[in-house]
Amino acid sequence: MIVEALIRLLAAAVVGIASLMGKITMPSWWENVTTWMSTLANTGAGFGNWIPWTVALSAIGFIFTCFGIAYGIRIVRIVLSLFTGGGGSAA
Amino acid sequence: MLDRNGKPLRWLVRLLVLLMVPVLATVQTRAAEAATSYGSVVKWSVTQAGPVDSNGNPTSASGVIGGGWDMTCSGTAAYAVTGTEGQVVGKVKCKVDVDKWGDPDPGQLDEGHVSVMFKGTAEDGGGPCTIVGPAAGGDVLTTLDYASIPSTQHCMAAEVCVEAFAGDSGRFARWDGYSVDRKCAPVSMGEYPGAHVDGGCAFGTPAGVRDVWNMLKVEEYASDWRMDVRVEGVSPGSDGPPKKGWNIAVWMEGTGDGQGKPVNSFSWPNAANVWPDADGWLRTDDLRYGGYVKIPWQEGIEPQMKVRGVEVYYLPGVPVDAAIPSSWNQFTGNTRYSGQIFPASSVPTGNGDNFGGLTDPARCRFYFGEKLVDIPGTDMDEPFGGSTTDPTDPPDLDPPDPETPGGSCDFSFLDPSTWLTGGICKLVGLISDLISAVFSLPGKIADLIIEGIKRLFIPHAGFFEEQIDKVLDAWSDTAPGQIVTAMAQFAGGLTAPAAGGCQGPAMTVKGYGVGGGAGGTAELHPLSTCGRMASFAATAKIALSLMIGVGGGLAGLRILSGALGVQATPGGPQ
Repeated sequence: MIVEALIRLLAAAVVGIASLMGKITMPSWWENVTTWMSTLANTGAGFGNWIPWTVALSAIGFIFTCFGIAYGIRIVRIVLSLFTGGGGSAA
Repeated sequence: MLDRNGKPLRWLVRLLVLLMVPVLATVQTRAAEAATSYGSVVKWSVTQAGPVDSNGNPTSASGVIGGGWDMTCSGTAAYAVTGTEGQVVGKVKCKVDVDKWGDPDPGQLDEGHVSVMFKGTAEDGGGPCTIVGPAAGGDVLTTLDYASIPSTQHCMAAEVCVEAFAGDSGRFARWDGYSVDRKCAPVSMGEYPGAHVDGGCAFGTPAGVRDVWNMLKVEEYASDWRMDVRVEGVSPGSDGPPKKGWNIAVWMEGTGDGQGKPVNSFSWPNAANVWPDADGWLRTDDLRYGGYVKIPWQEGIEPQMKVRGVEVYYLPGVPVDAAIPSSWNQFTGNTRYSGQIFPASSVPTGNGDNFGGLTDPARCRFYFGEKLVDIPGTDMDEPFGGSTTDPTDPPDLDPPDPETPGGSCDFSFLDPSTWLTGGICKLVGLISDLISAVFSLPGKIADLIIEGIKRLFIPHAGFFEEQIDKVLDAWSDTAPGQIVTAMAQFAGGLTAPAAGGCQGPAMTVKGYGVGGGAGGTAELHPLSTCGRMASFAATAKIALSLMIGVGGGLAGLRILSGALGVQATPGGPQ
């Protein structure tokens, strides 16, 4: 019960902080990004002998993944800093 | 490790042999254990009270300890069959009370023993049989724990008898008294486990001829008599099915007939190499090495008809197949080599070759055929290849402790005679229960504490999943969550451009004189790698791959370290 209470408290804090962030509306042009990427891919088709597209895309994906993980780490640190009086905050 | 001759190999071999001895012994022991199967455990108990008068008071008689004693025995027993050897295994526990009858030396017996005996009938119908077990001496209160009672004949036990002797001696080896008593109880030991598999009506060749033997098994199969006959031949350098010239005759008889009579006989094979099908009820066209014939039960045969005997013999005068090993040719003339399955008491004499297993037709599944030839490393000498019954673990034969005779706590307020003995007994029992309860309290308290601690610190099943789902739901509704989701979709939509040909992208040039005339156009491919540029392009692509890969990795590292509050830069902290 003790461990459950602590985890519930932590989860409630995360949910509470998340509720303060509000929502955004993604711009309408974002819906066309996929089309643009397709066009861009067709344009770059001729450059395949010079540019390593596969490696480039893998690197981009890796960087995006790192951003996502970094965001998660920062949020956890922010939440934990509530229990340490602000110490270690990533805010 | 060198000997005097400096030969380390010899020592090494000796060492290996020494190491192998316990290993082989273990393997042999395990093999012997694995071949043992057990029957169900039978529990029994007997109680013999000492002599009392018409009022129930112990009486005295000359020559015994005070006149008598109470005996209570309980035990377990089971059949164990190893190979074709049947044994009875079990344990007996007895308690004898002599104090009640005025033992001159209360609480201590100077001499005594308990012995056990199983009585029954021989499985072959040969009459009564007994299995005498060992005796435990010195103290009749001891446990008689007998591991096994080997039995040369398979005695179907029906009764167990326990005999106890108790004596008390005074000084100078003078007997103050003694007593012997026996008590029997019925037991139902059931069938010998696995016996019908391990047995078989093995029979075979005359003495001195060890090259051929035959095996068969007759069992009651549902409503049929099923006869499995395997005719095998072994001779030096030759091993194969019997050839021409062998006959199998099935002898049957009716109950009370007393005379075996052949009801059918078959000569195998005939010219067409099949069994004759004269009457249509026994047929096989392939009795050969390991083969069998089946005798169906049918109308017209007396229900009491018993398979009396089976003979496998060489029919004189039939040409011997050239493929028959020369040793088989010894079976010529008028000699019949018969394997009879008559009861042992009625095996015909005369031909001297009856190695038939014993059988009681009422239990025709039980055969403990005599093993004719022991050939290590082969199952040729085992009826039907040995046991197919899974070996069973030894049963738990530990019998419950019998109650001490006369030790009951019969107490009644209406019976003053029970106030002293029964009352004290009850009081002692209550105190004992109270002490046990008090001593068991710490254990129960400790169990409760441990259980409470577990409940405090160990979340229930599925708790973590519930909380994680809540957090993820909240995160997906936030602006960063939406962005991350959109980015994930974006990353998922990224596709690498097609490789294309070696010409690369085209560039159209338009101008005067281009293309051979005014206003003409021409298509150029400045990034073409079709010619000598191929190697250069490949090198450039590899260099770019390295740059992008290393750069991407460093960028990711920087992002992650930044989230942890560390500024990871190639040149170290700035």
